[in-house]
Amino acid sequence: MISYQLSPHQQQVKDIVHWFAENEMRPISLEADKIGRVPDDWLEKVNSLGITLSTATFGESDHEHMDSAASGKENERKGERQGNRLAVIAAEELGWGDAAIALTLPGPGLGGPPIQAIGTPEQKRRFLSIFNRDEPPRWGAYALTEPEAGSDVAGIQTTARKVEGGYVLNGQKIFITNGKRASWVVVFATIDRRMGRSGHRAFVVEKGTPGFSCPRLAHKMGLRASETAELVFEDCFVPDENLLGGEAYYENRQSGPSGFRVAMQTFDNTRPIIAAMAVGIARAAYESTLDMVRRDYPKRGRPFQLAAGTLANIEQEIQSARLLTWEAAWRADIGRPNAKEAAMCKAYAGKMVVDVCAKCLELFGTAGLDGQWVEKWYRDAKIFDIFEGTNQIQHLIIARHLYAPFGVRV
Amino acid sequence: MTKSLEDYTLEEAGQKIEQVLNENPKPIEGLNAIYQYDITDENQSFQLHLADGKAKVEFGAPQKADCILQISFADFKKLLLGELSGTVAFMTGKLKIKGDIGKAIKMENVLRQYNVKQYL
Ligand SMILES: Cc1cc2nc3c(=O)[nH]c(=O)nc-3n(C[C@H](O)[C@H](O)[C@H](O)COP(=O)(O)OP(=O)(O)OC[C@H]3O[C@@H](n4cnc5c(N)ncnc54)[C@H](O)[C@@H]3O)c2cc1C
Repeated sequence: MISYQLSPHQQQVKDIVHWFAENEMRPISLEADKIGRVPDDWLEKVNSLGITLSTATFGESDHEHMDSAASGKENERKGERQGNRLAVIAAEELGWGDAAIALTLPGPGLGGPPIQAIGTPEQKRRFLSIFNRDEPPRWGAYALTEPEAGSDVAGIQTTARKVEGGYVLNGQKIFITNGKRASWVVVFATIDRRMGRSGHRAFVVEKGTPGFSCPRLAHKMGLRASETAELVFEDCFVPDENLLGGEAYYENRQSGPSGFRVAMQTFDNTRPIIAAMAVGIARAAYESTLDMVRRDYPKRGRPFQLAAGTLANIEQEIQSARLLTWEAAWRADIGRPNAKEAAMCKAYAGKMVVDVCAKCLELFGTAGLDGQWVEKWYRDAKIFDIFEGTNQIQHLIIARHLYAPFGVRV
Repeated sequence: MTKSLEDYTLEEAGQKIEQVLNENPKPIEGLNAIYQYDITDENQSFQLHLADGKAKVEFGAPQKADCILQISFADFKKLLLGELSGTVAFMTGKLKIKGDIGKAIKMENVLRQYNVKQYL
């Protein structure tokens, strides 16, 4: 069974990430939101501390780092992977600090999981070893969304035409987190639109590749400090070595959903992390509202009762989202399928954080609207209902998994 | 030839740290704190007292430390040599921290500024 008690190591990770969130992120949070970016000197500082946003930071990379002298005891520990649980514990604290800054922490970001999952050993080395605290901060990115293909991922229009020595990419991607600053972007394209999902391929396109450009950054309602880029590929040549997984990976799966599956598997790992950040934002809003109510509300009477009731409800909502998130991460750690649970926690947490922030803003009243944290969190929260699959799409995924055993296709 | 860090005893390593920090005190200027290293597999501790740009190493735990770092001797040496980053050590459970986490993070930054190999 899952335990609700954090292990000493989990508690340590929570404490130290919380320290970082409180002492390094919060002090620049409102300013970063205002100027619409995370200051470069701050990014250089945290990079030199070795702090990165990578699902592999927690234990997973251990397999590679562990030298041959690994003792029996360490092997035992490897047996019980807890990378996903540590990642959601850390992500909640980062979300509590500032979600936009969290998404801007150097590292492979969303681009990491597909490379980890299907990259050849050579690709993993080439693309994942560049994130190093002795070098300038670097980023990876993940580019799936297109103007005509958001939720409908199977409908991607970006084409990859096979030529001598590689592929030529043509198309456009939108809303790509860290797309401009990234050293490389995992780009999904189709080799033949008629093939549907089985025609999808994932390419790693490196910054500076001729034909690859970033004409525009989006100006958003929330997560303003996080870079959201539009990317364009015009006769962009990508060498064979950058086809993620290599030809062999796709040949073996001629009939399967190939590149599409890669894109979707990423979400099983990353949705719980996004859900955890949403829990963190909600907790931040809750804590600051609780403080304010304690300080500023009359201690009896109808308004106080209402506020107390609302706050109790909020706490319950946050805890429900957290537990769903932990379950999804736990399943991933023990190697069980978690697509349904990942969709459930993301759907629940994405909606919960919007509701919680709205209620907190109400409790603050007009005072909350002007240059306050809650106002920012409210704007940030809405995006958690959209990216990594909108709420409606999560429900579709859940329904598919629920009804598939009964032969009902949704 | 001089001994390589891998062969150092804890005592020798401690003395070396004190010497290196005092020879080049710039990174520790303004840092006033007591760090305690518990070397888990050797059942030994030593403290690093930093004050007024000077470093002093004391074995055992003579004073109350601001921050206690628990790590195996082998990993401690890797940390000094820059082969293991404090953050990775921490995230993978090789390093445990008690007390003032801010001070621990400062120490990570200080250590990085010494190219320990150069002194060996
Ligand atoms: C800040 C931010 C960062 C992002 N970062 C990235 C990134 O790094 N990489 C990346 O690839 N993408 C990224 N995205 C894109 C994001 O994943 C998409 O916005 C999201 O998948 C929704 O797609 P869409 O915007 O095209 O909406 P649409 O798919 O056009 O959906 C519009 C509405 O219709 C609903 N809808 C659509 N289809 C159905 C259906 N079948 N049944 C019921 N309802 C449906 C949706 O739920 C939604 O409410 C980011 C988005 C934002 C806002």
